[in-house]
Parts: sequence; structure tokens; C-alpha cells
Amino acid sequence: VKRFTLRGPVAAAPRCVAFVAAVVLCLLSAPVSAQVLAVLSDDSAGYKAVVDELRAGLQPLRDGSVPVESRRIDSVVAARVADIDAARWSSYELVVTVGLAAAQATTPRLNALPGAPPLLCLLIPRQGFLKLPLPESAARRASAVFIDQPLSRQLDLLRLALPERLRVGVILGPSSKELGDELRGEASKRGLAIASAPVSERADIYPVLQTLIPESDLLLLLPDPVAINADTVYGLLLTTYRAGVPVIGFSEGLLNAGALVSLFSTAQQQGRQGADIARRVLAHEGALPAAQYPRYFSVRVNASVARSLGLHVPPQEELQTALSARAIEAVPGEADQAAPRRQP
Amino acid sequence: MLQARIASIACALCAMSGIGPAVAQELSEREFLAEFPTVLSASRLRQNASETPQPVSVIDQEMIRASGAREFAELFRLVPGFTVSYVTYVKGLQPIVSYHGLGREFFSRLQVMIDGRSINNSTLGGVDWSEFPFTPDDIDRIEVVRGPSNATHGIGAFLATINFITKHALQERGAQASISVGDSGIRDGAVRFGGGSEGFDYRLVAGHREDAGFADVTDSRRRNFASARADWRVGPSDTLMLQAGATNGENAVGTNPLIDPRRDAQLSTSYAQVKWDHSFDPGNNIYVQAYYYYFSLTDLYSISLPQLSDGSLAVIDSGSLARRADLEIQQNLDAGANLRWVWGASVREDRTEVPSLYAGARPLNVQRLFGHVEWRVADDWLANIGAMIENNSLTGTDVAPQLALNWQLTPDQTLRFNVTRALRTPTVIENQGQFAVGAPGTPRAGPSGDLLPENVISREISYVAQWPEQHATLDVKLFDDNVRNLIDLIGTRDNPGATFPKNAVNGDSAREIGIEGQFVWRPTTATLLSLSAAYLNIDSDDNLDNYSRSAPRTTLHLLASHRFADTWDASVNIHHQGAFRASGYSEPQRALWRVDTRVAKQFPFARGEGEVAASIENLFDERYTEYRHDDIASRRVWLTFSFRTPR
Repeated sequence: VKRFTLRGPVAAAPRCVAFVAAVVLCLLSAPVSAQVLAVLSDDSAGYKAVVDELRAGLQPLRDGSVPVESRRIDSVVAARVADIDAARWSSYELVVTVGLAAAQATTPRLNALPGAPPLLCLLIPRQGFLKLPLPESAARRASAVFIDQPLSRQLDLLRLALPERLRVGVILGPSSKELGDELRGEASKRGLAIASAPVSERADIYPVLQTLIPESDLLLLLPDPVAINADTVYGLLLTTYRAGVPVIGFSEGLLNAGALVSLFSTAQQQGRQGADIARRVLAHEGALPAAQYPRYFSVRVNASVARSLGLHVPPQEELQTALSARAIEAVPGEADQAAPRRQP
Repeated sequence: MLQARIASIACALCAMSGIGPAVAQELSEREFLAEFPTVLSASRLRQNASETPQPVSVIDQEMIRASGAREFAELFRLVPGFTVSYVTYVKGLQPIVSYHGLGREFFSRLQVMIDGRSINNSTLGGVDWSEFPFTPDDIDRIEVVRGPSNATHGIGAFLATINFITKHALQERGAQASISVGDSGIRDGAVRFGGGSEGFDYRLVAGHREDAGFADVTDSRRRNFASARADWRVGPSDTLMLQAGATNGENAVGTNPLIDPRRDAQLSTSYAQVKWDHSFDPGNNIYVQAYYYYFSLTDLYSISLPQLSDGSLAVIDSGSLARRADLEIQQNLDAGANLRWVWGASVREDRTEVPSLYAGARPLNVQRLFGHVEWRVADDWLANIGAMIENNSLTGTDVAPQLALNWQLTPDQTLRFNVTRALRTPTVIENQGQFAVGAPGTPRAGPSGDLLPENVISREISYVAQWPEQHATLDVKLFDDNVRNLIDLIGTRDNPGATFPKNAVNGDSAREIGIEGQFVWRPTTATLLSLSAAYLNIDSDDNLDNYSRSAPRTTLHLLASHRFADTWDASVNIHHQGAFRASGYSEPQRALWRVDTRVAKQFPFARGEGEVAASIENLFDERYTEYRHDDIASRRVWLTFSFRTPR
């Protein structure tokens, strides 16, 4: 059923009358000039926080008249939205996806449109973005703010937080294994040695830890749904703690669970960076920038764990300031490398 | 269409078998946003050495292996201030571990716990060192608090506290088996299996221990044991630990054919423990723990007595029964960056039956409330202030406070000042026992009834230094402890000097002054060195017992171990202790030097990992004696083969 193109006798059936009335109402009440469409994977707090931050960031633009229409992913993939016609899609100046699933659901839809609006993916892992089915012609029509931190920044953090601990243990799962070579390269630049161990299923993690722990001064966690998840984190933190090996995490959740230090971007920080980009696009200050790593990020130290392990970690503010100073020059170059297929 | 259906069926099958091409295994933002339960909650985090009010010695898995110890009690030779001896005339062969002397064959002035569960025997207060329902391989580490610590470790933490922490069920997966054969009848074997999934992990252990004890002494031991531990993550903030175990076996006893004939005493123990831990947030958690411990000694025998002129035999029941139920709640709370609280309460009931010593004993009920605050007064000053209030049905209410100040000289060096008062409540037998030491039929004293708890006021200054990069720690402690109201089994209330009959009285005081220290260094991951030394002077009037000689003046222990070529382990232990004579009926023990050594080789075996180890205790066959001069040490050699499946 095409909902937006009315054909045939309107009064063919009472159902149709009701339907049309509903559609008309809908059209009247819908924001006619929705310039930004935000598509959310989920409506839990984190995703909404990204949109809130995006809205707040667009407030200064055009006297606050840039509405952001927010939709959940299921309202995008459902038939209803699949039938949003080209004209409607084209009325958006920018489509922002929040989460991997939202990006995966939206990309094919945009690919099918000749004059599709630019796409900005937020809250998306780098590898998820690189695997999106974006055609060559979409170059500079799609960009992202990755949720993962650049390896260089993670390793810089290790040097700053625990300068004497040079042997970095890493568990490489099916997703994180592709980072192995890059990690070794970045580590050797900083005088760090990587001890890595592959894990292909959850049950492997304990035997792997038994061999990895004696070779490691600390354990750097890289996001991977097989290696690092609710089932494995418990044993991982307990085993490493008992061995006196501190864990460096990539999320606030890991910090609270017992990681010594975590480096991460919050949903708000992702939203803020997304807003920065959206403002430039909407103000026609240029094309969409290349996909990039987070510019805004947080470093947090678990003081209780540090104290218990007898580690003297610099204050988290100090670590954050030091990393931010490096980030300004480091990120753009890396971001270009991160999106090699997007040529102008 | 058909292909799609086949594919979907295949997918469903894969999903059922749990091996499938997992759709949910793609890395998404969820990994970054996920919340996890607080694993390292306030109660699981150990205080760092610079923050503890007292020295804590840790014996970890590596040290346990390197020590080569087959007997749990032997591990305490590593810890400064500890003495390990053996007695053969109480329920057969029993290890005796004491800290700063004052020990005797029946009581222990130490608190000994396994995972927070007290294993001090509630009849006489000794420790059932032979009744561990697992092997040294099941221990993750042992924490030894050297000094009185009622305020943090509760009832019985009098001169020192030992806590055995067994491995979390997650830590060992797969199957393991080991067998040991050696001199003096050593025949040990154990099997272990660890498994689990979806947040429920378990470990099962079963085994047998057997040896002939000292040469030419009736003191052989045989035990079967089994235990299980499960760790269950009930929810994001809740964990449940469940444990149960049992031991059963015989000790050969008998010192005199006429009044103490040769026979086997049957010993069995069992326990069950449940601990629920809930985290409100990373800095606030609470646990509730309950356990039950059962000990039974069956020792029925008959002898002929001159009093019985008709030639009939008198039946003697030397058995005993002890049952303990204990419930404890504890909360750990971080109240801001500079303040941490621990408080808790517990109730305990000890029921005992010792037919030969008394009849109709009342159970001992103990309630206690304890609290402890760790307050960072300034960046380099930390105060530990705590107290325990204990009320028990035998001696009433008493308070044990503690005040400690830690001054952090540099990030890695700390000076501690600690003043503590601690208590030891008399056991049921001490309080109500009607002792008749001598031939059966000799008169008994009535229960002593009005015993006071023993108490100690401890003043100590200790220094702890850590070299994190060298993996080295040093702790040195200077102490001056005043122990009062020592309970002893001599005399009666009305006539303290009487040889017979006897019961327990608060007799002596003792002042203990000394210095001790421990240096542990791991220069490489393959090498471990541990050096402990202690000097102790005990001053006592010795009215009722020889307390002033009850500990060696000096002890020294060196452990060195190294791993060669990644498959060979070699270690040596050199132990020295000065002459002493334990309290009670012990005979004097002369000074000794003893060397133990262990060599092990690992190799791949049947797709798993095998290990052969040779352990030699008392390498140079030093013929020193224990509590009795008949109990003569000699060299013992045993071989252990162990195997573990691929993990």
C-alpha cells in the first residue's frame, strides 16, 4: 500500500476514509521541514542521549529552526518507511544513524535513491562502518564518528598511566584479530611489546588467560563480542586481579566492573561530535568530512582497584589532558586512513 | 525457497547446538555501552600492604608449589614468627601451628579459616590440620595476618589469623589427577574436575591421604576426602558461592598397652557453606554467609583396671563431637574518596559433646558486632579504627578495639603504628570440662565456670616497602604484646597448684617483645626468593606452664625457586628454628636446621600436560624431635605424578 500517493476513488470504502483522514492528519502534523532524520537502533537511554546532544548542538543554527526527526530502527525497516518516497527522503538535509543496526538498515535505502541525503553514522564501531554496503558513488556522502578509540591513543594511555609496564597482553577474538598487525606496529613505535593470544570461542578464554597472564604486565581489552562479554568479564577480571595484572578497558561498564583504567566516548560525546559535523554540513561549509575517531573522550581511573593493586596511576584529569593534547594532531590523519575507499 | 528453508533449519540446528555462525557475534556499539556487574567489589578488593593496619603475609600458589609441602601446616614455616610442630598423643598425629609461642597440644591461639569459615575445633579450640577436604592445589592463596585482629577478623583472631582462600570455581577447568608415593607410607591421590557454563561454575575434588607418621610410633593416618565448590552469578549484581565437603578416616593411637592400647580412632568432618554477595554499586556491597561444621571423633576402647577386681574390662569413650553453626553479614562501603567502612555482625552456636570430660554441657552462643573504618586523614596518613563487641554465653560481653596509623613516607614505603586489644573466648571444654588427667577413675574437678577470656594488648610498629618494578616487598615488625589471663589446664579454681584433679584456670601473663620480617623478591617471572626471620623474647612468671620457653628465640626460613627451560622447576627451603619447649606436656625440642627440596618436570602427555615431581623433606636427615622425644624426624622422599587434560 502506498500511503503517500492517493489513487482511485477516495470513498471506495469507509476504511479508506479513515485511512486517508489519518494520513492527512499525519501530514499536517508532521514537521514539514524536517531537515535532519535521526535513525536509532534502539530507544534506550544511550541512543536518546546522542539525539538530545545532536539537537542541542544544532540549536545555534538557523535560530534553532533545525528540527531533528527521531525514529527507531524498526520504524525504518518496516514496510511503512520502506515506502517513504524519494521526495520525502530527499527532503532531509542529513540522515544521522545512531548504532550499527540503524546504519545497516538505512544504508541500502539510501543507496537506492538517486539524490539521497548525506549519511552520518554515530555510535558505530570502525569495522562495522567499513563493512557497510556503501557504493563508490557514495564517496563523501557517508561518514562516521567511530565509537572505538584509535589504537595509538589507547597505547599512549598505557605509556602515561603505567609507564613501567611494557608487556601488553591482548586477547584477540574473531572481531579484534584484524587489529593485531596495526597494534603491533603502534606498540613498537612506543617501546611496548604485545603478547597476544587468539580466542575463537568463549570457553577458550580461561586457558588463554593462564598462558597470557605470566607474559603480561597489563591486559589491554579490545572490544570483541566473543572474547569480552558478560560471561567472560567476570572470570577475566577475577583472574587478572588475583595475578596482580591490571586491566585497561574500553567502556565505563568495564571500569565499574573492575578495570583499572578505561578510555571511552560517552553517548553524549558522540552526539556532540556528530552535532559539530552536522552543523558544518547544514551550514554548507563543506562536504561531509572523512569518517573519524572520537575527538571527545573520557579517561577514568578506578581508584579502589589502583589502591588495592598498589599502583600509582596519575589522576584521570591529567591523563585526559595529556591525551587530548595529542589527539588534536593525531586524529585527522588516522581518520583518512580509516576510510581509504572514500575518494573524492 | 527450498534452499532458504534448508538454510533456516540448519541455522536453527546450529543455534541449538550452540556452535552456530552467531548472528549476535558481530561487533556493535553494544560492546561499548554494556553494563557489567561489579566484579572487583569493595569486599573482594584486598587492602594493599601499605594500607593494612598490620603485616599480612601472603602465601600464593607459586610459594605453595615451591615449598613442596604435602602437609598444609608445613606452609607456615614460610611466615616469620610461626612454629610448626607435631604431636602424636592427642587423637593421633596432629600438626601444631603457633605464632609467638604460647601454643600447646590442645588449644590454638590462632584463628584459622577456609574462605571465611572457621575451622578451629570448638571442643578444645585446636585446628583440624589433617581434615582439609582438598589438596594444596586447590588453594589460591593464604593470607596470614600477623598480629591480633578481632576488629577485622572476629572471634578467635587472637595472636594471628590465617585465611585459606580456595580457587574460584572459574580458575580450574577440565580434569586433573595426581598420585604420590613415598617413604613412611606416603600414599596420596586426588582427582579434580572443573566445569561450568552460563555463569555457573563448579569444581569437584576427591582424594585420599595416608602416611605412617614417625618411625616406631603408633601414629599412622588415613583420610578420604571430597569437596565441591560452585560459584554462581545469579544476576548482574549477585553472586552465590556454595561449598560442601567431608573427610573421613582413621588415626592410629595408643601409647601404653595397659591404659592406652593401640587402636584406630575414627575421625570424620563435614561442612556446608553458602555465601551470597550483592553489589549495590562498585563501592557498596554486602554479603551474607552461613556455614555449618561437624566434627566427630569416635574412640571407644576397653582396658582392665585394678579397681575392677572381677577382671571385667572398663569401657573408655575418648570420642568427641562438635557442631558449629555460624551466620555472618558484612557490608563494605566507600563513603567518598577518603573514607571506607566495613561493618558486620555474626551469631554462632557451638555444641560439643566430650563424654570423657563432662556431661550436660551447655552450647556456647556468641554474638558479635564489628566495625572498621579506613580514613585517609591526609594524603600520606591513613587511620584504621575499628572495634569488635562480643557477647557470649560463657564469659559475657567484652570489647576489642584497634587503632592503627599508616604513614606513607614515599609512595612505596609505609610506616605503621598499631595498638590493638584482642580476646580469645574460652572454649566449651575449657569452661566446663571436668578434667581427669591420669588413670581413668581418678577424681575430677567441677567445671571452672568463671573463666575470663584471654586478652592481649598489642603495640607494634611496622615498616613495609614495595619495589613494584623489581617485584619485591619487605616488611619488618617490631612488637610488644602483653597477653593476660592465659588459660591453662592446671590446678583447680581453689587450688591452682594441685596436680590432680585439674581444670582450666586463668593463670599466667606473658610479655612478648621482638622483631620479625619477610622479604619476597621475584627478580624474573621464573624466580622466587623469600626470606623470613624472627627474634622473639617471651617474659612470663611461668606459674602454671613454661610460657617463656614456648617459642624458639630465633627462626629463619629461606625459600628459593627457579623455573628452567620452561619445563623444569627446582626449589629449596632452608629452615632454622631455635630450641624451645611448647606449653602443655611437650618435651623440649632442640634447635634444628632442615633443608627441603623439590624438583619437577612438566611434559606433554596424552594430549594434556603431565608432571613428575620428586620432593625431599629433611634432605640431610636431621634427627630432631617433636613434642615427644620418641617422635624423631627423618628424611622423607616422595614422588608425585600429576596429569591434567587440555584446558
